[in-house]
Amino acid sequence: MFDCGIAQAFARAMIPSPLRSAFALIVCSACLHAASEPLKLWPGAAPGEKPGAPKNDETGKLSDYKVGGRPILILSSISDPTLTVYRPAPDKDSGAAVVVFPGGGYYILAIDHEGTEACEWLNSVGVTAVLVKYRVPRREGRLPYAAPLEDAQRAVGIVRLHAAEWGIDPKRVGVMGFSAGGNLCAVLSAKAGSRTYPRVDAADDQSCRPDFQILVYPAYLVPDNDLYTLAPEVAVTPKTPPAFMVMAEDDGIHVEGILAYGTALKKAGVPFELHAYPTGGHGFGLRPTGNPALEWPSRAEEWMRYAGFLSPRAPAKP
Amino acid sequence: MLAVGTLSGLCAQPPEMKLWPGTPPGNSGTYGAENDTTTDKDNLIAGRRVIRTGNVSEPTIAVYSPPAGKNTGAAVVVCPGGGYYILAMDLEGTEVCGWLNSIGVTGILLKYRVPTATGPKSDTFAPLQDVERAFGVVRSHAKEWGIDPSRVGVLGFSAGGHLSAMLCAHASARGYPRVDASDDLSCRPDFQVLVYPGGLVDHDGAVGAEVAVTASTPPTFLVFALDDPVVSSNHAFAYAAALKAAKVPLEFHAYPTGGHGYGLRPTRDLVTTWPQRAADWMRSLGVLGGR
Repeated sequence: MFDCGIAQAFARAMIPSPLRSAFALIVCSACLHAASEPLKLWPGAAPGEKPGAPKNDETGKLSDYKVGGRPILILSSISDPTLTVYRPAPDKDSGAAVVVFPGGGYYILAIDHEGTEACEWLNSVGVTAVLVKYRVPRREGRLPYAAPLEDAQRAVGIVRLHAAEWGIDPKRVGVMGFSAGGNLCAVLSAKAGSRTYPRVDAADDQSCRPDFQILVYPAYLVPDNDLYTLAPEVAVTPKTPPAFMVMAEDDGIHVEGILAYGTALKKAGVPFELHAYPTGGHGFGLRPTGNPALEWPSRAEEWMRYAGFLSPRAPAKP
Repeated sequence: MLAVGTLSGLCAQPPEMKLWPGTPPGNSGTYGAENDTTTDKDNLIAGRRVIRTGNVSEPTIAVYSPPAGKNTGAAVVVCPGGGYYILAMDLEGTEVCGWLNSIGVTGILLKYRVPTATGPKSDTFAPLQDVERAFGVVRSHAKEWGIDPSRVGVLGFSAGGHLSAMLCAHASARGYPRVDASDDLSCRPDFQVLVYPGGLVDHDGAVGAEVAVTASTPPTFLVFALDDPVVSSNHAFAYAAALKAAKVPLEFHAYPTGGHGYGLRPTRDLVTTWPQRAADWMRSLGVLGGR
């Protein structure tokens, strides 16, 4: 098995600096177990998309913005959303799955530090990761989350439809989102009762309610002008899935968002876990920087284990 | 010296030191002799009994020093809980000092006056006087006890958490007439750790005036279990929001289960891992030395 640390050290030593990160990314994708080919979410055009929409940005661009000392990879445009399945090592496989939504303000997708790297971590704790490239940037004339919500509802249905084939327990399908992706998870949890698009096929007959949600510095849970009132599109009911939330207090996107969401969950009797750290800013992903907030993957793993989502699957009957 | 092995890893019980040279100020009330009120009928925590000290009219501190080679210079005044009726002296006291010692921190166990003759909103609340006095006494002995007077925190459980927050709100002036030079030293904690704190909000849901948060409230660590049957999570959430609004650095961990009064005895509930979170937090604050 390829070791990412070694790959990166090799990249640092051997490759001229402008190319290093790109090389490390390519090599690192080898660390992910058996990534499937990307699967189109919609057989035809996605709902509301007009012919002639720009092609998906497949290569992305390394941003000047660095996290954990490395630039992050940005996809600028997705019109034909996809999902990609990353499987854990068979001896580790818990049967749980998590559908991952990167952040980017609904304008772009931060596809590595809030996408592939999250999938890699999920695999390391025995979880199948399903990375969704949802539609960005925002669609003119539509709410920022409207097209991404269609993609998210569709993706969770597809995952459950393929559960047997992909070795997933359809009752342990969670979602995980960063920033705008965290908002998308909360919107999906609030609007999982019915699809927001006309039925396409059998995937849309499956429930699209996540069994649990992991919100990493979720955005837009409270409006900027009223930090203590939950936005209506993320309304909480007793049916809202259990949640894990993490955020830094110095995040400009407002830690009040998770305080308000937590308060609402508590009122509705929905179990959750919340961790707010003094510093860390926004967009830290999972790259260790020495900041205590970056311990959050360990907390999230403990929580999933505690809540029973990582219980080993029952042995197959002979 | 004969080492007495205990579950908390403490080698010996240090002597208790009277906080006040004469009679403590204010109204201590009139109660019977100090005693452990725990009976066989009382609930166990993590399968073990808890000492519930009642009728404390002579407040004291006891200094638990870490092994010399491990001493970071930081100190924490520990306020056990017990609803201002009793003090959970081992679960939320001696065991905490044992843990603090293990991370190189001096534990100062405060035995404040309970039960209280007046409510916490009165001008002369005996436990507040005791913890204010304790901070001055600790800082005045800093050199002798191997403590850096600028790294003295407070840690409180339940009612002790309320007392910690009260101290932070009242740290600019003593609530009793000056006794000696130790009362000239600051009684503001450099940081506070609140574990399932109670009484932080009034009936209207707002943070109580006696624990009001300002920009000079020290950095705060707050941990809470959401199924706490004694204290509603509104207390922790309202206090956290007030700290954020006042731009006070906060670390807040809310865990799904654990109830109330678990101290730091490990159980299956994830909330009982809070000492690791708190140690990491103190480290990142720089109070454990060497950032």
